[in-house]
Amino acid sequence: MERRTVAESNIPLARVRLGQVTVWTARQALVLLVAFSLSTIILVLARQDVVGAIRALYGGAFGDLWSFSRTLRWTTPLIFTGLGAALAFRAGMINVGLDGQLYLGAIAATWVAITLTGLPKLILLPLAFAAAALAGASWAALAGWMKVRYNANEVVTTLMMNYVAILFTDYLVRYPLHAEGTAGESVATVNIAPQAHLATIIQGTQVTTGLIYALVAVALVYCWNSRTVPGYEVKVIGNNPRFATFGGVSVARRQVQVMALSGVLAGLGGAIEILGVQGRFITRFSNGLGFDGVTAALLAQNNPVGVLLGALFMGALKSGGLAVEMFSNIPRAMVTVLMGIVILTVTVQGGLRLFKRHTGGDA
Amino acid sequence: MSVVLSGLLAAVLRTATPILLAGLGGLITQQAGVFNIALEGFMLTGAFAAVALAHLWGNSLLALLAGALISCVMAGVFALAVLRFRADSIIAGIGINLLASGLTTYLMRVWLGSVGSFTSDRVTGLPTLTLPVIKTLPFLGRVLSGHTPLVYFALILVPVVSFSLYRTSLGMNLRAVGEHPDAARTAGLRVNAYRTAAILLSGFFSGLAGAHLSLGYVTLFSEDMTAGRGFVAFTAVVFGGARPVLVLAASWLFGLAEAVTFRVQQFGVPPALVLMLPYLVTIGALLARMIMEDHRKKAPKAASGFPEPVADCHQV
Repeated sequence: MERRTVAESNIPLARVRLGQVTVWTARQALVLLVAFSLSTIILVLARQDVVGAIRALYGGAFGDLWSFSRTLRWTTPLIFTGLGAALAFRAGMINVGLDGQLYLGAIAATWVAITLTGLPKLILLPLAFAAAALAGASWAALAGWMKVRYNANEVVTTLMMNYVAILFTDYLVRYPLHAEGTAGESVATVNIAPQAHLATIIQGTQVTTGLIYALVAVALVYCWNSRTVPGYEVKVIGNNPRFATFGGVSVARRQVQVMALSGVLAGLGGAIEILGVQGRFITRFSNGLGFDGVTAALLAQNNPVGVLLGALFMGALKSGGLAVEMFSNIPRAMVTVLMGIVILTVTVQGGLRLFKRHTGGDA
Repeated sequence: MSVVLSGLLAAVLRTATPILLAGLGGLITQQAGVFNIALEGFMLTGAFAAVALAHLWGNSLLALLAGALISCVMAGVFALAVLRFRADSIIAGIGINLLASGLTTYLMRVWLGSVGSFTSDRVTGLPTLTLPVIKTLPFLGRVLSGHTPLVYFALILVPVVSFSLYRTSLGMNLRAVGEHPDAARTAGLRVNAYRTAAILLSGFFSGLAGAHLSLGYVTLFSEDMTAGRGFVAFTAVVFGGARPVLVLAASWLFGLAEAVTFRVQQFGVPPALVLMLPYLVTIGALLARMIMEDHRKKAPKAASGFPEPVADCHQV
């Protein structure tokens, strides 16, 4: 039963790097090809204009500066949730609660940015980010703790905690933080303080300094993974928790820490959505950023730089999906279908496993 | 007071049914050694297919069955991914759930021309059954009589599943496959055939569960209308240690949480807070079960003579 990916093997990194990258690229390209083909079959079966759809998808994602900016705008939060998912995966934990952590981070950042309006930007922004990180981290760490202490399956707990967290923000926005004049679907808080807005880096678009923070996060996670002791220990835990235990790694503590970090990233993603794009907290503002992040991480096989590409791909799908809906009569839900197929095909590639886990399959 | 109570209990029976049906499906796959969180996607598929076909055919019972069969197709995809292509069952489950969510929303728009939710006057709800003798009983009559056939079917299914798993050779083989696949294979059992059958069966039951959501007490389909009930059902399996009677108890607990939620909303408590209740109860129940397990492991083992239904090697 010892199946391992190249990334899991003990061959020194320097020697396999080139081969590894080639294999990764070829494999993921194949996955996407299969997924796109299967989706095409669905479109053909529903008698829809496939060529038009693909053209609209591509045009909507990369067609002009405006479209590409919209892709980047969606890529930004996806990098955060993708990194969060990848970090947890790497430690053998499945964090599908990124949505809930993102919402809590977003509402925490909003709260700071609408209450402490007198503070200068240099103090207010770090405070908002810190609040978001703390909110996301504690929510995720709670699930991690339930997992390591009582073996409560984290897939179930994090999913259930999504509903709780999102409903909690619903409550906050409808009652204590409610802004006069907003109601129904788009009930919202008041606008955040003007100095809390992130600066735009491409004029006239929604691409903000949040993208730069996201790139910094990629670099930091990359360094943490490959240059620090905890990062290395987490890799060992993900590959073989028993070996890690024998090697003197405090598995439980590291796993909770990783979940917390994963939550920090999701929370920051939420903060950047609010401070960069939304400007206030509208209920249910996020459209599945958490699960899209999981898909990005799966495509990236948990490599932080790969997450960058995965997030760009998912961002392009989100941005292009809007165009598809506008310019053809194909609903945006087709993108969700594509994502589901991508996830299914990513996992079926010749039995290569992302991480070891004693699940039902011929364990 | 007794009217309120009987109303509540009847509501518990009703809201517990989808969770019980999907839970029994999950139980069978769990016993066969497959970690199945795709229940949510199967349910959603069944819920959509049932409404769409009821609209097409104008016959809700036929649509119910066909919906469950279509949910089986989804289960077939899951089985193919997990058994044939050896995909990680959790990741594949997430994929199936996304696929179901996307496909149902997509097809609702493309075929039925609706966004958000769909209903039509051609869609009729499931018929309700009036139980002849029980109906006349003073209190129980109001609780037990007048439900859809699925409510009774789910209840009857509990002893049937229990008997099949523990008293028939087919069921014993299935459990053997789950507990020790290698030993089962050595004994000549076709492991993947049993697992495929279990997954397909869970697809069928979850499809019925979904159809009960969309045709049982309302007659409409709305986007992601299962709202995590598949995961709740999965938790019921974990909570019940994959034993049918305990899964029944868990489904009643979750049904109670949901029924209470509907009622408390009328008292002016913020709905968003009340709606958290079923999810909090689910997390609490899972945690309680795992804490019990934790204590049991620490306690010195008594020789009970009965093997555990689910082997320890399955991480739940």
